[in-house]
Amino acid sequence: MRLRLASWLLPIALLAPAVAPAQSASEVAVKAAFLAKFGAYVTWPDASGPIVICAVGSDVFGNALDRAVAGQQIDGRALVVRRLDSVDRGSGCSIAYLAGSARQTVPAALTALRSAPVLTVTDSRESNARGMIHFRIAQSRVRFYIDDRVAAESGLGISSKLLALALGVRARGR
Amino acid sequence: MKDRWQRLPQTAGAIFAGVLLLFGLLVVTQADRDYRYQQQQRVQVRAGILAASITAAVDFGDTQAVREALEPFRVDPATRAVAVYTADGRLMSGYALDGFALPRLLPKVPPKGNYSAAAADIVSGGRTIGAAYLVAQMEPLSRRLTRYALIATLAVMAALIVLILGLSQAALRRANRELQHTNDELVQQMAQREKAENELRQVQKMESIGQLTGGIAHDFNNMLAIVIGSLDIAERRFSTSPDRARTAIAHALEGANRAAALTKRLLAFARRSPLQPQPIDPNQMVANMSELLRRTLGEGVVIETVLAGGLWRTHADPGQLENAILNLCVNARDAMDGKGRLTIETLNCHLDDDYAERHAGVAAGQYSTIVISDNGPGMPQDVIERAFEPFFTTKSVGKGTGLGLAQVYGFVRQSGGHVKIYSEVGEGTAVKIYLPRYFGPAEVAVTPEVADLPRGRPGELILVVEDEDQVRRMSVDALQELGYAVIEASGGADALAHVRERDDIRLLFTDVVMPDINGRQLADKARALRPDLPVLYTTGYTRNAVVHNGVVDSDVFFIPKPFTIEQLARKLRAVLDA
Repeated sequence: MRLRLASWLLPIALLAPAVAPAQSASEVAVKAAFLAKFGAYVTWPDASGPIVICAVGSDVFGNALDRAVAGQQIDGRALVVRRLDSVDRGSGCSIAYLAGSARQTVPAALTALRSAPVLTVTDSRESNARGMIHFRIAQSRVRFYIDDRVAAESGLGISSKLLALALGVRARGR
Repeated sequence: MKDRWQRLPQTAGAIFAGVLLLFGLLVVTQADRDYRYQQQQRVQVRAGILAASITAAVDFGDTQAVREALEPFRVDPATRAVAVYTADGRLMSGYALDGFALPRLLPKVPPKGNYSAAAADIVSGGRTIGAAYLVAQMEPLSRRLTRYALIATLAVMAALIVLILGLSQAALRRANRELQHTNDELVQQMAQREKAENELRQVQKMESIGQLTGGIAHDFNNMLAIVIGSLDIAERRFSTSPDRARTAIAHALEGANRAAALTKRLLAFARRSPLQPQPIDPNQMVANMSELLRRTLGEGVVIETVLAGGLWRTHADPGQLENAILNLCVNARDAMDGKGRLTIETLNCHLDDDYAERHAGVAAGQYSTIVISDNGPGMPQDVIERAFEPFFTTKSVGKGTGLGLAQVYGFVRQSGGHVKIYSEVGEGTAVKIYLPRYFGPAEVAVTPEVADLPRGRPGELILVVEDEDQVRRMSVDALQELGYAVIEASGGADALAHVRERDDIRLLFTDVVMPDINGRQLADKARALRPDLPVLYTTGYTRNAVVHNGVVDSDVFFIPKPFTIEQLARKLRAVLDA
């Protein structure tokens, strides 16, 4: 099993140096809207309080994320945006978009949040390291991969409706 | 009113048929409404399912995924349109089939035509983010109706059955009415026929009476001719030749006696003859008659008697029975033309219920039977059938009165018996007289020796009551001839006066039918004065107060008119010495 995980991670690691050019404004807006919508398809062990969306590392969104969550609620829970340089288990994030920074690289952030009930979102434009959801541009559209296994290990449930939209899904273990 | 009641079942039938049809229509309509509702529900549910399955795709704007999700609905042939609209009502993705136009915006009203449409909200995280819209073709009305054809057919059939039943009932009633009409006519015809038959019977009766009167007149004329002629001769020769006068008087008496016998036979036929039945041993009677029969029938007829041992006795009038046997024997002789064999047989006979049922007026039981048979030419069936009819005779005019067998019949029936003729043409004739068995005590009939006439004793005074002068004089003469003292009265009042005045009257001799008072009433009144006074009744006609059902009461003394001096003498002595 561990061997399979390694063979799956290997190409990602090889691709890491190929960093794409800067994102367009509409792409950023779409990603911000996606972040605001994921909450409806994810269940956390603790379903109380607002859903906190953390933008970790370099600022990718500008005020696009704030616009996306403005006035939105998911099943009665408010959406809150926080910007952090680095993240750890105690940061209070429900969803963490990991853009990476000098202080904490994306893999480091992932490691810091390992097994924590935080939906980790990574972006192929920022890093090859993959969180539970990994953005990627396919046919000029924002798409994503889902690692349901890691999500399950962290105690999160991802709706099959969302899984159906993913480019690829790493299924949870039995 | 009656007509309205008769029409009621028809009306009810029509109403029932109407109700049945209405019910069928209701069932079909309700079933159709159910179908439409279910169809709508189905479409709604499918829209709901669609909406739920494409939530994420719509949420994340994945048109491709939405299109793929809509694709499977093409498989359903009823689907006319499938579409997804965004929250602001614009078409996101969808398609229409078979000429259905897909609206660009989410429609607020259902499409016109035979469709069922439903929209279901797409909800994500408590937010409505769009709508799934589904339109399905309903089954065409004709197809739906064929589905209800069974119900419709049943309803129509039931209605038809009700109608047919109603119609057939009406037809039946009409037929009944006609039948009733015919029946009424028939009854009327029957009544008419009965009336005609009654008239015919009346005519026949009058004819019979005419025949009877003619016959009696003829016979009586002959006898009167003898009587008158003889008396005439007697009167002329009275002084000159007393012997010839006496002979003539004897002839006159003979003629008068024959006339008396004729009236007796008439009365027997009419069943008006008072019978004085007594226990009879038929064997003894037949034995006693053999000498008489031999003389009467002549030497040409061989008489054979076969008498049964232990023969039952019977209860009948001996004189009448003798007369009947004599009649039958004479008939037999005449049938055999004076030459042949006559058999008189007696036997016990039991007539069973079966026989009684087949013969009118016969009671089942034990009978003492006398059979008189001859070996003459016999009778054909039609003659047998008419043999007992009065005045029916096969003998030539003047030889038979046609009353012989009628007398036999009348007497036997009056005695509670039965008479039957068996005859074969060329073989002979047998007549059977059945008389009911008598169980009572034996009464030895003492026939007084014919010696001198019993005469009146000195001092025996008899009161004669009779309204007809001539008859009264005759009676008075006869009584005086017999040595009785006589006083006479012409009516009830006179008679009662005499009874009051003279307490030495020994006997009241009275006619029964009188204008002022009948004999019975007179006797009752006289007995009130003199309870021990014996009464002797006489009458020519017997159906009256003294005689019941043609049989004389046992405590009543009676002598029928006409009577001879000898009969009167014996009767008087019997009464006075009783």
